[in-house]
Amino acid sequence: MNFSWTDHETGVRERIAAVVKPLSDELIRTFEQMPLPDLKRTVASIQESLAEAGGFVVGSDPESATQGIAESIHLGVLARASVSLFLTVRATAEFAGLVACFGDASMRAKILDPLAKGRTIGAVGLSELGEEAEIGPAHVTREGDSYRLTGRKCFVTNGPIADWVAVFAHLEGHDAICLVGPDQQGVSSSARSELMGLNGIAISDLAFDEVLVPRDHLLGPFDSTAARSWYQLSADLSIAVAACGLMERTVHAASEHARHHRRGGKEIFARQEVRFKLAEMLTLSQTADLLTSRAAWARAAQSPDARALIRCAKVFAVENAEKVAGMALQITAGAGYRKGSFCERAYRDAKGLALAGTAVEVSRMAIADEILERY
Amino acid sequence: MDFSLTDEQTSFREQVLRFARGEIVPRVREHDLAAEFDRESWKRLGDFGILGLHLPVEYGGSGADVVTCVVAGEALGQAGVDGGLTLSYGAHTFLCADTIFSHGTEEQKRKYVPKLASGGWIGCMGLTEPGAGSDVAALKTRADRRGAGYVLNGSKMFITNGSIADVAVIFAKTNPEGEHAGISAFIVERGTPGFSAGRNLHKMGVRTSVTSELIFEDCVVPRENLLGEEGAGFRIAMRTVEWDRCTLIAPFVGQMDFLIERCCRYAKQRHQFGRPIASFQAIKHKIADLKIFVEAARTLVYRIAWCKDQGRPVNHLEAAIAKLFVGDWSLQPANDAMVLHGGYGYCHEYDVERVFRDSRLAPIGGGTSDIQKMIISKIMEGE
Ligand SMILES: Cc1cc2nc3c(=O)[nH]c(=O)nc-3n(C[C@H](O)[C@H](O)[C@H](O)COP(=O)(O)OP(=O)(O)OC[C@H]3O[C@@H](n4cnc5c(N)ncnc54)[C@H](O)[C@@H]3O)c2cc1C
Ligand SMILES: Cc1cc2nc3c(=O)[nH]c(=O)nc-3n(C[C@H](O)[C@H](O)[C@H](O)COP(=O)(O)OP(=O)(O)OC[C@H]3O[C@@H](n4cnc5c(N)ncnc54)[C@H](O)[C@@H]3O)c2cc1C
Repeated sequence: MNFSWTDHETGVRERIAAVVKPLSDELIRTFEQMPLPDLKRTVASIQESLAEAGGFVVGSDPESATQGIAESIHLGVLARASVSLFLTVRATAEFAGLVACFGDASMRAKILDPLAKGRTIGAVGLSELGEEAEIGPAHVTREGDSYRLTGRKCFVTNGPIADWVAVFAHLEGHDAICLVGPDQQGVSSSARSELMGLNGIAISDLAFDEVLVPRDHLLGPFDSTAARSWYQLSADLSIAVAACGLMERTVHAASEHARHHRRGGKEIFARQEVRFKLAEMLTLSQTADLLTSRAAWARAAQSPDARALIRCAKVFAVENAEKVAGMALQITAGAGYRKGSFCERAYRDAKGLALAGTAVEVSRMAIADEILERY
Repeated sequence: MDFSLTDEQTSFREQVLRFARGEIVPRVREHDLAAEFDRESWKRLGDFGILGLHLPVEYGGSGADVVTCVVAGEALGQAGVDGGLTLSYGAHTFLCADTIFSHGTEEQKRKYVPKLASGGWIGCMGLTEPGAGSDVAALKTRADRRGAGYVLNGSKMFITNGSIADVAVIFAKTNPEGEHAGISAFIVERGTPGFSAGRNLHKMGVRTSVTSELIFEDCVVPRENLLGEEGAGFRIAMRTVEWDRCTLIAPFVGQMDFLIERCCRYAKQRHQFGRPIASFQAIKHKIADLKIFVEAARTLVYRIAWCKDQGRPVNHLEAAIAKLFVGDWSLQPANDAMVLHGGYGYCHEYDVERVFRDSRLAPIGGGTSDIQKMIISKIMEGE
């Protein structure tokens, strides 16, 4: 057991921190309105710097890819600066992870090299509209040696700026993944979605109309849901890390405010009603952080507990990020409620984290099902 | 970071589980209902080696590290050992024996620690008083120098193992004017004239542990029973209560694991509306929340244990966070586990109501949740 970072881990964290340091709040905010080609260039350049720092590890095979995803914990400092930017970068890494884990050697050689250097941007399309929608689930049909992809994916992180999208679709009753580019015929993206929070992410819905997918751009078909679960666990771990970064920063912001803001002749930090909230916030933040670190460690160590721990960490972190953000607004009060304040953003971002990835309701059912099987 | 247990710790955990399930758990319900201390279980704990686990071999212990003690505490709870017995063990081993071991002279250590490590003697620690709980510095028990010793006058309240203890670590003021710096620690043996136990308290939970009032009336304690230096009592007490926030809360976490098992088994066999209640999402939600609590709490408790193993003298923030979380965040899942059992949850048959009752001590003993928030916020303020 060791609750401190190793020298190697500390080195990686310090190098990532150096990359993140110049990314001021003002600069990051400009990403929200940036024209998409500029945003694409900016994200690629940040990814490149992170890759050089060792903070953007894209494995070349299943084992190293899983290790890389587990190491996303070190990117927490980026999440602290911007949850949106963190999720943007992670979406690329998760795309790369799918290729590394489920692609063949030639596909890996072709796609992974520029990704590992951070130069290209990836996205993963799994979510779809509700079953009431007229359009059915995304599906692939065979056409000679190739395939045709038809369907629609919603809420795709990096949808409008991605160089590659991994699209989950059904092929003869099995999961398959099509790797498609944005310029391919039949691929179209909606405008960048306007969201309540997480405004730095470029999200869109993607439509695929009979898109031609060559054989070497198709992963699967898979006999099991392994690829889907791999992606969901990776995305959930990223979201947990994001929630931890958000919480840490929120606790800091509220505590700084309480230190300087005076009422009734004292800093409000002196009031138990305020300081006890801060204590609770720090407790939740540290608990989430430790649990998430443990979940990431379990994944890297290929522990049989990893799946359950990631689910627990995700539910705990996102729900408490919302709680902590709410408490921070309570402490920063009028100042925090003003549009553009950090706490106001954190409050909206936290809700987004609670919705992204596997829904907490669905995660809870999965956690319980796994335990019920044991007893 | 590395969150793994060693192979020895993992196999020790299995041994403790097996031992506790076979030797202790079958006796729990009877003693809990009768609200009586179970001497036979105590003896078995001693024979198994739990009571002196982390004390050095030369003092009759096993020389285990703190993480291993947490492994043991958690396994006792997980097996279904009641919070009363684990509290008695915690107060005895960590609050009394360890305090003597960590702050005592060689003579004091030789005299008391081996007897405590075996369980042959029972120990207790008296800090709280009727008028001084959270506000430790306000304690009123006096220790006035007289001749070659001290005379103790005053009383202690809520003392675990109080009336059954053979030896007590007692905190008293050697300088009534001084606040923290006026407190000193003493070793007081049962039978010392002027030292008696008052009433035992009837409690909601942890009923197999004895909780007593202790009374000191012109109780003469020889000078060689001063523990540490005069005036060092507050510092000693603060190091002692850190155990409260580490090894003593480990069984509470284990108990919640015990609830998971109970809930799963019950939910699968209980049918309503023509199907097992385990198939209802609301039931699964409760089971998932128990699991989330256990994993979060476990990580915190191991962190403080690991910090202690690194030899850091104080770990106030880590300890307070673990204690606050276990105390406050266990309420909802413990309650959920009881409700999941419906009417039976309110009865003794399934042990879940006992765990609920026992777990309610977690936000009170060893410093209430408010006190943990005071500590955490003070540390935050100083940053
Ligand atoms: C910021 C952000 C980024 C995202 N990025 C991506 C991305 O890159 N790629 C991608 O594929 N998706 C992405 N998503 C989509 C995300 O994964 C989905 O929002 C999420 O899976 C929930 O799906 P939904 O919105 O369709 O809700 P629904 O699935 O329609 O759920 C609606 C409600 O019903 C509940 N519910 C549904 N089924 C059950 C059940 N069986 N039992 C109990 N309750 C149930 C849900 O918990 C929820 O409360 C992103 C979402 C957000 C917010
Ligand atoms: C079963 C049991 C076993 C115990 N075993 C031992 C033992 O072995 N040895 C020992 O020394 N003690 C023992 N205790 C005592 C325990 O540590 C105290 O009960 C605890 O510290 C609280 O003290 P109190 O009961 O005097 O409550 P009080 O200090 O009177 O507190 C009452 C309430 O006021 C709140 N409060 C107090 N001060 C503040 C403040 N500044 N700000 C905000 N809120 C505040 C508290 O949080 C609490 O809610 C035991 C108690 C129990 C119930």
